[in-house]
Parts: sequence; C-alpha cells; structure tokens
Amino acid sequence: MGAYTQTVLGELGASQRTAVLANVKDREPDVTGIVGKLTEGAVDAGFMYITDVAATGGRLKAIPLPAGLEPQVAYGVAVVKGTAHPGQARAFVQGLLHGDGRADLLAAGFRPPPSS
Amino acid sequence: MDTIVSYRARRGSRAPWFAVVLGVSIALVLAFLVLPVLAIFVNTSPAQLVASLGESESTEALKLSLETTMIAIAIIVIVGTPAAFLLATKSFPGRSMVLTLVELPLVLPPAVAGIGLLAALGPHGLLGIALRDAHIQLVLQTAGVVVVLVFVASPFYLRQAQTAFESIDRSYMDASRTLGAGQAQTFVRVAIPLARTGMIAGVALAWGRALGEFGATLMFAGSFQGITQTVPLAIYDRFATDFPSALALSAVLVIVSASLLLAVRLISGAEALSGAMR
Repeated sequence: MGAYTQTVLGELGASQRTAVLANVKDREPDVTGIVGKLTEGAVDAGFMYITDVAATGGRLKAIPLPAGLEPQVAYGVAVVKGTAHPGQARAFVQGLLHGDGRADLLAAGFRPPPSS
Repeated sequence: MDTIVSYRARRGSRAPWFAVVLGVSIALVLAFLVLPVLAIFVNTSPAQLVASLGESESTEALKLSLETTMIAIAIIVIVGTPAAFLLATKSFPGRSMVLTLVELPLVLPPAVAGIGLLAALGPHGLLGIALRDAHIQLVLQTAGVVVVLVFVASPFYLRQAQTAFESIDRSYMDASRTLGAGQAQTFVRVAIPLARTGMIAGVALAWGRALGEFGATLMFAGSFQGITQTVPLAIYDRFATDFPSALALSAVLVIVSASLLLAVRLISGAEALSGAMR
C-alpha cells in the first residue's frame, strides 16, 4: 500500500505532494492498522484499498482517486508446476475467474481481471 | 547459607545422573535462547551494522527509543516507588485485588494493551473528549509512545520494587521510627537505600521490556519516522522491503539491550558488594 501511495503522490505536482506529505501522521506497515486508526478517529483520511473500505460495513467512506492517478493494482493467480493436484488447482483458478469465486470477489469490491 | 553448606557436604553421595540432567538442561536452554541472537550477528557484517547506523531512519529510531524509554522509566520510578512501598508494607482490605490489577499488564497480549489504550485514551475513547478539551493529544504522538511504554513496563518495576521493600528487615524501619524519623523520612532515608539493588533490577527489566515494545505502540501510537517509529517498529518496517537492513538494525538493538542489562548487572553487583562490606 505504501508503494502504491508513493506512486499516486508521484503523479501529483510538487506543491500538492508536499501539502499531502506535510499532513501524514502515520505510516502503518499494513492496511489493517489504517482501518483501525480511521475507525478510532485518530486520523481523518488514509490511502487504502476499496475492498478494505467495503469490509468495514459502512463505517468508512471511500473517496475514489481521480482516474488518472489510480495505480494499477492487480493480483495474479497461477497453478504451480509439478503440483500434486493439478486438476483441483485448475478448477480452483477457473472458479476464481469465472465461477462463484468471481461473483464473491466482485461482491467484495474487486474488479474483473484486466485481461478479460 | 546452611542449605548450600549441607548440599556441598553431601555432594559426593549424589547420583551422577542428576548432574547430567542439570548439564543437559542448561545446554538446551542456552542453545535455544542464544541461537536466534547468534543468527542475527552471523548474517550481519560489521560493515552493514555501521551502514545501518548511518541511515537517518535508524538513528532517529534509536534516538526516539532511548528518549521515550528513559522518560517512561523516570515516570515509572517516580510514581511507582511509593506505590510499591505501600503494597509491600501495608495491609489493607482488597490488597490482593490491587496486586492482581497492578500485575495484569504482565499477562496482557500487546494487542490487547493497544486496543485497551485506544478505547481509553483514543479520540473516541472513554477519556477522549476530556483529553481533547485539555488539548492533550496522545495517539500518533511521541507522548503516546511513552504512555504505552509506561503501561506495559511498569509491572516489571513494581513487582521488583515491592519484593525489595518486602525483604527489608522491618526492625531497621521500626528503629528509624523509634528514633523519631517520620514515615516519609524513613521511606526516603532507610527503605529506599536498603531496597536499591532490587529497584535497580526492576529498572533493568522494565527498561528492557520498554525497548522491545512493538505491538501496543503500533496500535496506539502508530509508526512515523522521528515521531513514533521506535527501533522495533523500524525493524518491522524494513522486514517487508529490506531484510538485511532489518537484521542490521536488530543487531544494534541487541547490542543496546545487552549493554543495558550488563550495566545494570554491574551496578547492582557493585551495590550488593559495597552493601555487604558496609
């Protein structure tokens, strides 16, 4: 998350970037900490995934980044070579990409994979 | 002393297998406890160690760790010593309850301590509004780090200080009172000097705990370079991106903590010696 935030801030103009950085109070090592600090009122805003906002059940409100600033965040899935259960592994991947898994991921706030 | 003498006298008649058990036991204990520390140093070259000290993230974390732990220890000793004296010398209704409450942070997981402090002193916490009205901000501030350290480390000092006060021969304090010293004077001039060695040991334990504090600090105070990022948090921060540099900073923390422990050992050893000669 920290690296994505750096990317986003890097897209901003120098004065905007400095203004944002001047207000940074905390650099949590993971997103859970950001959620906690937000819900406990310790900070007013934080950079996090839309899926983490969705998981708070309405306690946090997402402000989408302008389209030009949004970093490419994609997760990959693959079957490892030489696996003992290739059939099941492939079925799992298919389920994530097309089946119930895809429906669950979309419901949780993920978007369809970029290639499809 | 008697027991040691009689043990020595009968030593020859003891079964040799018990000596083997003792030897194996200490060997296992040492091997297990030393191995991770050894691994840190095996994987860190002296050059990396020095390079790590040259980075501003490390030096700021080290400075912050020393600063916050020293303030926390000062608060613990100043506020805690009279409390430990009271617990050691007076019996009052509910004393065992108070003892349990005082020791509770010892058994609390750091995550629980962090959540509890947020629920008590956070902006939405029990005292959140009162603190805001008083313009006191703790969460995400250096002062918040100190609050966490005092919370997690004070039982270590209180326990030791209480035991030290309990082991004072009461006749010294009675004599002091008989000779006309007040309670406060007896506490300062008789009890504290006699309990000093135990109090120093308590300071060492509490300081060690405070230097290593991680989880509750992260939850309550967050992690920000120069403000709340103590050495353990800086180590964790690097763990994700730069393992060798995390190792190097760990080595620095081991050296600092070990020197602290050793220094206190030496001081309290010298104290005990001079006490015995007096």
